[in-house]
Amino acid sequence: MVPDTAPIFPGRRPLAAMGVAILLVALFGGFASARFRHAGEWVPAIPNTIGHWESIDSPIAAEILEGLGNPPTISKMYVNPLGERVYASVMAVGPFENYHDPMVCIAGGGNFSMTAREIFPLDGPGSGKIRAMIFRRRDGAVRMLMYYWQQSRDGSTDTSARMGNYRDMLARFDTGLGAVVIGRQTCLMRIHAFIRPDDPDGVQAQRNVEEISRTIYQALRRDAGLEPLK
Amino acid sequence: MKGVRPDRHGGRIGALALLACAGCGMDHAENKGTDTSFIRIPGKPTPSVPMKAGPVLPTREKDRFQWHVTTHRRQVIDDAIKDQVLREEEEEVIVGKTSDGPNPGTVFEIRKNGKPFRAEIFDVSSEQVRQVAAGLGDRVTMVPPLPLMRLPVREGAEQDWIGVLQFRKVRTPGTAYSRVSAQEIVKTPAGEFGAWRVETVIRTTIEGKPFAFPMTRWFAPGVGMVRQRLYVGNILVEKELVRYRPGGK
Repeated sequence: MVPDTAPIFPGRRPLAAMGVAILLVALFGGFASARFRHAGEWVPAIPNTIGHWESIDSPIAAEILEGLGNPPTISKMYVNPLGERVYASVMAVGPFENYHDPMVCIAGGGNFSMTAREIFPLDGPGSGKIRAMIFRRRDGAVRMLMYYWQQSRDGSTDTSARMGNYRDMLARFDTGLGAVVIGRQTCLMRIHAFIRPDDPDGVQAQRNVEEISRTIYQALRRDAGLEPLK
Repeated sequence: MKGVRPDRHGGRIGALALLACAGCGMDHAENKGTDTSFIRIPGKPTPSVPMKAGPVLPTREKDRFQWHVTTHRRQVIDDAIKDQVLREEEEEVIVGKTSDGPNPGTVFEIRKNGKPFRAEIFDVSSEQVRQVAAGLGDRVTMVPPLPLMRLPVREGAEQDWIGVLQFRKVRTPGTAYSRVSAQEIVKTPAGEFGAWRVETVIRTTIEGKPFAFPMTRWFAPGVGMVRQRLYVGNILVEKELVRYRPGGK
């Protein structure tokens, strides 16, 4: 009969096994870190001019980027001749800390709550899906429309949330698998506009966000060396 | 047996993990929210506003329009709009003859207290509506005429213009952008109208300084302009249709 306190590995084997395990974990950790870094190295350029829209750089605040682990980011504000504005940002994402979902970040800030959400293909059948959201300021006065998606260099898009809670486990697993095993490179796309008081149903705001989003989506595909969608 | 503990909670923990995974993928959740009407799914038909039949800007001679004109001073202070009404008055618009002269188009003569005060000339063809000139006796003429919208009207359609604004002998280069922004129900003292909202901005340089003149007009087919908004700096001039008399009757 084996005593209750008997070691599973007699002699020096436990130490050796532990050493091997630590080494394997360290090697995998180093490999995974390098792969996550690689995942966040695709920073595609976005157009300066889109139809009637001219852009100026509109950098994201340094403290916000710091909270996200300082991922490489391009952020622009597009203005049309009527003075309407659309904001667009491309954020190259590697490790999980770079991922912050607007559903949580914007709503969690306290001033806005998410009041609508739809998911649909951005540029017709066969194109990638995006998530459209309305955020309404809690005093009810201002609404913001945002298109959000994760754009991979292989052309695929994803709209799942990745915010570190139990509900996003599958999405996070997919991110890890994509970055570490497949070597997928990804950007987070956020394109938004405030709905103006003279646009009571938000029709024009959506038209504007859509025009900018579709053009940028096609630019990202071109940057990735993919065929444009017809 | 001492040291060996049957794991009584293992099954429950496993079930919890499975339940947690069942909540994965928020995108599978039903779309909902109080503002879903603010997001239109591309490809799905959107409700349109009922509109009368007829030209968007009728040019029947002797048609008369009575306008209520409100002039405001608008200032944006800390995200809030401070609005001060400076004056309110009535205007009458009489549609004149369509001419083929040097400024081909239809004259919309604006009268105040029965006296001619200002005029706008529009060129309306089967293909487009263009503005030819605007102003007092000495009018500003747009060369070539400035396109406001193509016909038939399509929501979202845009028009560009690059030309010259001519005032007496002074010629100033200018640009303009015009867009059919929406179909809307417009409520005026003259009634409710289904109308196209057309936004236009004219940009030019006056004495070396850049100026922009944004304006919004609502065109109700079969009637014409039923509302206008014109900005000059922080002055907003709003016009609303009070009465419409086809043929002046």
